[in-house]
Amino acid sequence: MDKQNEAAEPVEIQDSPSNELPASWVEVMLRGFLRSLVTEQKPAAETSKPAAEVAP
Amino acid sequence: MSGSSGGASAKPKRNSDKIRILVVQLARLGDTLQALMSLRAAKQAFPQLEITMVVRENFADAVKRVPWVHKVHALPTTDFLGPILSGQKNESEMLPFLAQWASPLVQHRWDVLVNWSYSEPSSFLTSLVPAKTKLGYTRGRDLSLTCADDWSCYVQGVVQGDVHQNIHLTDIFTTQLLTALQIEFGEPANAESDAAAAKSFFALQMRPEDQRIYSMFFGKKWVGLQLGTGSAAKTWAPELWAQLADRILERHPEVHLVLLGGAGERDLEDAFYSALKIKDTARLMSLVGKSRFDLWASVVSRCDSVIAADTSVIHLASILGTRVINLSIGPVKAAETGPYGNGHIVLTPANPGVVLRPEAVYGAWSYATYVPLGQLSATTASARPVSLRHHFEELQLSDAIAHTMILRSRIRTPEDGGGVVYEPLVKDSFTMEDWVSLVMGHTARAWYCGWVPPIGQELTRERLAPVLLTQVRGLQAPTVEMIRLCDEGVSLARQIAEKSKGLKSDRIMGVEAKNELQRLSLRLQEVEKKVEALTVEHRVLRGFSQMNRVMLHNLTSEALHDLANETVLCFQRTHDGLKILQNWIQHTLQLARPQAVGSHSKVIPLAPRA
Repeated sequence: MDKQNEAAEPVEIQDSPSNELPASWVEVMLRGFLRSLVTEQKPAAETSKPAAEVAP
Repeated sequence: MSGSSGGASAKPKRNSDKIRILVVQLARLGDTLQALMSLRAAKQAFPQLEITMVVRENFADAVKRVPWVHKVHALPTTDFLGPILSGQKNESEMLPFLAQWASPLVQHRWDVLVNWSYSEPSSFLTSLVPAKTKLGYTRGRDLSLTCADDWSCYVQGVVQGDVHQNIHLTDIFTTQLLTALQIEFGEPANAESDAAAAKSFFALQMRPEDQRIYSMFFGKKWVGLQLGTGSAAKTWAPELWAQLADRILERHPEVHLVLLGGAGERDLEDAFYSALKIKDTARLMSLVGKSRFDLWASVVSRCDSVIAADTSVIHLASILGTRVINLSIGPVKAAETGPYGNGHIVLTPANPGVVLRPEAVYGAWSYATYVPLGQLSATTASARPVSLRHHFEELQLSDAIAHTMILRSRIRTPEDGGGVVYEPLVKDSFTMEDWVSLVMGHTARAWYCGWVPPIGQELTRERLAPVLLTQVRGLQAPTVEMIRLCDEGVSLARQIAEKSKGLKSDRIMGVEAKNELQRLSLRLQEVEKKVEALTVEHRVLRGFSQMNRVMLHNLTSEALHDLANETVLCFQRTHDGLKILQNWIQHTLQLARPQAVGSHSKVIPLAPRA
């Protein structure tokens, strides 16, 4: 289970400059999902996660 | 564990109606396997569950092999993230692909959505997908991370809040889901769920080349050694693994060893072979980097026991009913994530910096495997005729268990509180962490299960050391102070509820009412700050202050009056928890009081000073 304890901090969703339309709620959720997946992945990619946890 | 918690009651479905449940598990393989154990218990209790699981593509094979999982929706993380991480595409360009992937989930109307990932990304997905009932992390109206249910508050405030507690995650997941199902859909069809492990858990699909390897695992006693883990801090050195293997091969001619691990563990495998003294390796096979899920699971199911640190194989073996000898090294809380079931062994260094010795692992393994796991039950888990200490004496390895804790798992009866517990085979004195674990676990059961075993049933006088008693005594005053603060919080929130009761709007009110509400709100904020401040000096109280903060963050009402009433309940719940802590303090100190010596009475000494 991922360790975190983010109790009350609102998450800031920033639209990219190319996205001119106002973000719908669905888009905000999708963007939050993708962005947090990227954030989560970055340290792992940089430290070359051992394969044992990627596949048995 | 069983129990009940609050929640809106929907029109109950008939027992024959399908209950469509979506389970989001975007964590690693070990977490996915733990989720499957909880789902099996739920499926046994509610056979009408139609389970769909969202998992990372890398781990989808394990779930696809479970016959009672209806559908697997795999998240191809590499496909989505690879182009972004390499700079080929930006997030906006990848959004349509993600939307397409999520589309089948969003279009479905789920009865229950369970998010067991407890992570940031999964909370967005949970918020996005509609469901009548949600459990786990989601997102609130202000987009902040929000807990959809009581147990999720506990996970955030305590489990992920670095507070010691002793309820296993599998038990938390199971209780959380069964409670919600019971509230929404009535009594389960099968009241007694069978938590026993089963070799037939997966419907495995073997390739011909895998079949050939698998056939070698019949008619011999195999022991699996999983060399690696997901992090260096949790990994046992290959040289120590080699010493253990040498000892087993030398002393047990009937035993064959199989090395398990992914392709990324070939370096460990090389180091292992370099350090191995026994060069006749006819009884040693390596499947490092060679095992797909199906072969891996088949081999683990055929092993007599598996020795591994904190990695997914301990959960796989637990599911399959293979005994685990778990080397709990580094930042691991075995009480939460150790092997689940009866008769597994956990070895952990008593102090940071202590290295587990191969002799200790060997002694624990040889002790545990005396009774086959299949013959163990909750009542016979301690059936070994001699003590562990005596066993080490017989092996002439008594000094090997110094500074090492050796625990054995046991599933408690419902009368004892249920769930898995890890009991020390060598009764050392309780540490403060042990004591806090007991208190927090007890408190959670009182909060969410409605019934708890008597306070302190796990405590015994001979395990109470003076250092612990001093620390417990030091908790008395701050606990009283925090209870007082909670009382004040309840009182202030009640006053706010009372003052706001007659208001037509939270925005339109007289100056006097506005000033009064502001005054009360400011005082309430001060109380919250004081609760937090108290735990800076008294870290043991952190579990309660963090729970208070998480609960206050998860208020759901919009109107001031309703919010105030919810706030009353939060402070009241924290207060109730602190009262339990106070009872534990009193019970512990009472247990340690000097005993009068009568002519026929036996004096039980306290634990010696550390």
